[in-house]
Amino acid sequence: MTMLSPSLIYGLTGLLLFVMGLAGLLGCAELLRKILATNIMASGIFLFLITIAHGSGTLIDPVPQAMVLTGIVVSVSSTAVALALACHVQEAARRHDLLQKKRGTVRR
Amino acid sequence: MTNPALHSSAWLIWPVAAPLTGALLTFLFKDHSRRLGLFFAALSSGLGTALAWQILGHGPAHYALGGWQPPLGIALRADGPAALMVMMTAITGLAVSIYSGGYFQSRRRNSKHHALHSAQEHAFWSLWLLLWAALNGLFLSNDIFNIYVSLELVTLSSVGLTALSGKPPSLVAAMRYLLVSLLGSLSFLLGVGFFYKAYGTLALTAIINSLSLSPPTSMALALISIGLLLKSALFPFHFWLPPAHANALTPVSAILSGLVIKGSWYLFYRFWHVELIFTAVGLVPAILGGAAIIWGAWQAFAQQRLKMLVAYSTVAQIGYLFVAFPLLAETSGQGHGALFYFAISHSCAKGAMFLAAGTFFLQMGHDRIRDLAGVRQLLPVSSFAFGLAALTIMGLPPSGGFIAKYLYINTAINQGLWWLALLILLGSGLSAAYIFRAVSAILSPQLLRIRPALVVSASMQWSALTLALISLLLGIIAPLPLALLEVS
Amino acid sequence: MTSQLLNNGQAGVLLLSLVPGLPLLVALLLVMRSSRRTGMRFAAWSTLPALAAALLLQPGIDLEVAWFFMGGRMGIDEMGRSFLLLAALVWGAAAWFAHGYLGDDPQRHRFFFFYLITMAFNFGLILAQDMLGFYLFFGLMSISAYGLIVHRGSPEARRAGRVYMVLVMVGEILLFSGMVLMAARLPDLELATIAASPTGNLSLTLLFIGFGIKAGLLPLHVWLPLAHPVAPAPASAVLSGVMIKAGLLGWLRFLPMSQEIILPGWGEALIILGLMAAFYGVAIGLTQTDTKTILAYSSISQMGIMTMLVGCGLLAPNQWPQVATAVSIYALHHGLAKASLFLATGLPMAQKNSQAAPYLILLPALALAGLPLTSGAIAKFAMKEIVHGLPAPWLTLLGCVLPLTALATTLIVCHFLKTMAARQPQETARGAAVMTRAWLLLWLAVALLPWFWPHQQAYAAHVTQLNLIWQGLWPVLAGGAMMLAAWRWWPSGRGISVPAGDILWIFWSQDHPPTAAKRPPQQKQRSDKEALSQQLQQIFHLVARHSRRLEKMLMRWSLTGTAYLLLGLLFLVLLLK
Repeated sequence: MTMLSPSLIYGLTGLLLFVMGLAGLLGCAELLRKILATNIMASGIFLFLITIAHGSGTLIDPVPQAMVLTGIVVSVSSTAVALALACHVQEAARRHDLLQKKRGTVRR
Repeated sequence: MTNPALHSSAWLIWPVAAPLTGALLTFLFKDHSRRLGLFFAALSSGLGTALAWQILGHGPAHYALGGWQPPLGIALRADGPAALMVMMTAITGLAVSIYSGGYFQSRRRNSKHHALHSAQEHAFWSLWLLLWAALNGLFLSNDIFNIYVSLELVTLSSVGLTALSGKPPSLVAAMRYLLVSLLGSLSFLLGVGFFYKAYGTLALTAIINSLSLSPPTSMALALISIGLLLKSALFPFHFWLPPAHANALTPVSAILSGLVIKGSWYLFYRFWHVELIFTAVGLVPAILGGAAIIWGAWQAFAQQRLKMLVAYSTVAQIGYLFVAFPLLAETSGQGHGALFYFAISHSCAKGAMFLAAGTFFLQMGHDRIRDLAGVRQLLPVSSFAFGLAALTIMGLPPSGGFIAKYLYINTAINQGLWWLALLILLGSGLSAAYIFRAVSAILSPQLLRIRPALVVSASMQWSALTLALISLLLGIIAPLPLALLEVS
Repeated sequence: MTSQLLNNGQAGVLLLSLVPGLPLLVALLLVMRSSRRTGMRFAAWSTLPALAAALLLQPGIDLEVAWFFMGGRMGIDEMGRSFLLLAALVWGAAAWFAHGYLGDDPQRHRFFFFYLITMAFNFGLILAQDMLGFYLFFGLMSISAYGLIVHRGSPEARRAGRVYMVLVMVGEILLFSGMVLMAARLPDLELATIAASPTGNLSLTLLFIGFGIKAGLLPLHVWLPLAHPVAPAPASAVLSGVMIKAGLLGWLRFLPMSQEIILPGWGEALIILGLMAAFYGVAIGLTQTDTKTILAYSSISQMGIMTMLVGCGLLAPNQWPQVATAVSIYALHHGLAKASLFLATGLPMAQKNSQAAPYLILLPALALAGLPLTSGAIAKFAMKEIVHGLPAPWLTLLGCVLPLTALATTLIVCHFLKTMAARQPQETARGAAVMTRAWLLLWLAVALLPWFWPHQQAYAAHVTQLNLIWQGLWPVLAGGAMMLAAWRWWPSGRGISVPAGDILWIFWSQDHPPTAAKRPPQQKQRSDKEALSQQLQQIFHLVARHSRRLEKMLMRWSLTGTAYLLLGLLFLVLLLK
C-alpha cells in the first residue's frame, strides 16, 4: 500500500475542489450557484498553492503564500462585483416580467 | 539593492501609474471627471508613446518594482512586442477618450435623465482609466502571478464598463462575460500554480526560455492556453462577445473590441512563441481560428444591426489573430510581424468602426443597416471614417490590414502551408462581402426626406476619422512598427 | 539643358514626387470647405508635373522611398514615359473639360476630389518600379474610380458601380494572390527582376485575369459598357483613355519579358482571346444606340487588338522590345483618340464656338480606324512590323485578319458618327467655351503628337509611302462603303438590340436593361425577376435561420463547458506527446 503523503492529499483535494467548482459553474442554471462555484474553484486553487509552498522539505516557500493572500483579495472583489451584477440582473428580469404581465392584461 | 542599471529604467512604471492615478482622481472628484479623465488619458497616451520611442531607441528595459528583486518582488519588462501593444493602447485609447468626451456630453444634452448620464460618465472615466492601467500592466509585466492580477483587473473593469448602460441586455451580457472570464482567469491561475511547482519561479521569460514539456508544465500550458482562449473569445468560445460588445455604450464597445481582446491574445502569444510547441498542437489554435474566420464572417453577413455586424466581424478577426500560430515556427520573424501588424491595425480600424457606428446610432436613434441610407449626408465625416476603417478590415492596400495579410500569405507560402494562405484569401473575400453590405448602405446616395438636427459633436466624428486614418497610415509606414517589434 | 539639370540634380526627384503628390495635395484642399475655391482653381493644373516629367525626364531616374509601404521605388522608364504622357494629356484635358461640363453641378467638388485622387494613383502606378507599389496604386486607383462612376447617383449609375466594385474586389484578390505567389520565389520585388524571372503558370494566370478585368478582357468586360454611359463625359474619357490601359501596363510589367523565357501556349491563347474581343466588341457595339456605350464597345475591341499584340510578344519573345514599343504607341494613339471622342459626346455641338466640332471629330474617329497619315496609321504600321516577325501559321493568319479588324473598327466608328449626328442638340451649357477649348487641346494632341513623339517618329517616316497608304486606306474605304450600303438598304428600326453589358444579362435576371432602347413588356419580366429573387431570399433566410439556431446552441453553457473540457484535454494530450 502506498503512503499518501499529506501534501499529496491536500494537493489532490485542491484539484478535486477545482473540478467540483467547474462542474457547478458549467452545470448549474442559477446565477448564485454559478458565483459560488467560482468561489469553490478559487479555494481549490488556493489549497493547491499552499501545498506547493510546503512541497519540498521543511522550508516553507513564502511566494505561494503571498500569491494566496493576493488571490483571496482578488477573489473577494470579483465575487463582490459578480454579486452586485447578479442583483441588477435579477432586478432587470423582475421588471421585465412585470412589464410583460402588464402588457398582457392590457391586451386582454 | 541599488542597481543603477535597473533604476535607470524606472520610467517603465509610468504607463501603469499614470492611468491608475487618473482612475483614483476621477473617482474622487466627481464634478471634474471629464476634465481629469481627458487630462490623464492624454498623459497616459503620451507616456505610452514615449515608452515605445525609448524602447525603439535604446533596446529592451527591465525594472524591479520598489527595488524588490524577484522572486518576491514584481519585475516589469518592456521589449518590442510589449512596447508595440502599449503604443497601440495609447493611440486607440486617446482617440476613444476624446470621443467619449463628446459622447457623454451629447447624450446628456439630448435627454431628460441628466443624473443618470452624469453617473454613467463618472463611472466610465474611472473604470476606463483603471482598465488602461491594467492593460499596460499586463503588457509590461514579467511576473505571471502579477499577470493574473492584471487579467482580473482587466476583466472586472471591462465587466463594469459593459454593464454601464444599465439596459437589461447589457446587464445579462456583462454577467455572462464575467462568469466566462472568471473561468478563464481561474484556469490561468491554476496553470500559474503548476508552472511554479515545476520551475520555482514566476518570471515569464525564465519559464518560457527553459520550457520543457513534462507532465506538470504540459498541464500548466494546457490550462493557461484554454483559459486565454476563453477570454479571447476564439470560436467556439465567442458566444459572450457579440451581445456584450454590441449592447455596451459606444466607447466601451470600441475599447472591448479594440483593446481588451488583444490583452489575452498577447498573453497567449507570450506563452506560445517558442518553437518547442510547434508540433501538432500548434494546429489547434490555427484550426479554431480558421473556423472563427468563416463562422464570424457568415454571422456578420446575416446580421441586421450595424453594431452586431461589427461585433461578429470582431469574432472573425480574432480568428486571424490565432490562425497564424503555425507561422511562428519560421525563424525569419515574418510570422511575428504578421500577427502584431494585424493586431495593431485591427485595433485602430475596429475602434474607428465602432465609434462611427455609435455616432450613427446616437444620431439616428437606431442602427438597422437597412434604414441607414442617407446617413452620409448627415454625418459625412463619420461615414468616411467607417469607409476607411472598412479598407483595413477587408485588407485592401494601402491599409495596415493589407500589410498584415501580405505578411501572412507570404510566410504561409514560404512554409508551404497552402491551406492557410487559401483560408486567409477566402476570409478576406468573405469580409469584403459583409463589409460591402454595410458600407453600401451607409454611403448610398439616397436622399433624406427630413433632415434632423445634428445631435453629435464634432469631436466624436473627427476622433473616429483620425483613428481610421491611422489604421490606413499603418500600412504606409510599415517598416517602423516592424522595427519596433524586432527589439528583444 | 533643362533636362540635363533635371536628371542630375534633386530637381528631378522633386518633380517625380510632385507627379502624384500635387494632385493629392489639391484633392486635400477640396475636402475643406474654406479652401475649396483654391482647390478647384488648381485642379486642372495639377497635371503639369506629370506632363513635365513625361517630356523632360530621361528614363532611368530613380527615387528610393524606404519608409513607404515596405520600401518602394519610383522611377521612369521608356514604357512608363509613354504611358505617363498619355495619362497627363488625357487627365489634364478632361479636368479642364470637366470645369465646363460640371459647371453648375452642386456636387462638383466631390467629383473633382475623386477625380484628382484617382489621377494621382494612376500616375503613381505608372511611376512605380516595384511590385507592391504597383499593386498599391493599382488598387487605390480602382477603388477611387468608383466615386467617378457613381457620381450621378442614379439607379443605373449605382448598378454599374456595384458591378464594377464586385469585379474590382475579385480582381484585387486575384492580383494579390498572384503577386504573393510570385514574390515567394523572387529575390526582390523590383519590376526589373520580375520581368527577367520565370514565373509559374498559376501566378501568371491569376495576374493575367486580375489585370484583364481592368483591361476589359473578354468575359470580364461587362463593367465597361455599364459604367461608361452613366459616368460624366470627362470620367468616361479617362476611364477609357487611360485607366483601362493600366491593366495593359500591368501585363507588360508582370508578364515575363525576356528572350529566354518561353511560355508554351500563352502567346497563342492571348492572340485568339484578343482577336475574339476585337470582333465581339464591334459586333455588340453595332447593336447599341447610346454613343458612349458604342465607344465603350469599341474600347473593348481595341483592347482586344492590344491583347493580341502582347500575345505576339509572348509567341516570339525575341522581339519583346519592339512589341513593348508597339504596344505603347498603340496605347498612346488609342487613349488620345478615344478620350477625345468621349469628350466630344459631352460637347454641346450646336453652340456658336464649337461649330467646327462636327467636322473636327472625324479626325480622332478615323484615326481609330487607321486612316493613313493619322496616329492610327502609325500604330497599325508598328503592329504590322511585329506580325512580320511571327512564326509561320500566325504570320499568314494575322496578315489576313488585321485588315479585317481595321474594317470592323471603321464600321463601329461610322455607327458612332451616325448616332452622334442623329442626336438631339443638347441644351446650352454655361461652360461651353471651356469645354471646346479643352477638347481642341486634346484634338491637337491627336493630330500632332504622332509626328513629334520620338517613339512614333521612327515609324512615322514610313507611313507616307504610297503602298502603305493604300494598305491603310482600303479597309477604311470598304468599311465606309459597307456602312453606307447598310444605311441605305437596311430597314431602319429592324436592328437587333443587345442590352449593354451583354453576357451579364444571361446571369442577371432580365429586369431593367439600363439602355431603355427596347423595353420588353414589363409585367412578365417583373414576375420572373420577383420569383427568382424570392427563391434566393428564401434560401438565404433558410440558411440564416439554421445558422442562427446553431449560434444559439453555441451560446449554451453546457456546450461551452464541453468545448472547454475537450479542448483542454486536447491541448494536454498533444503537449504530452
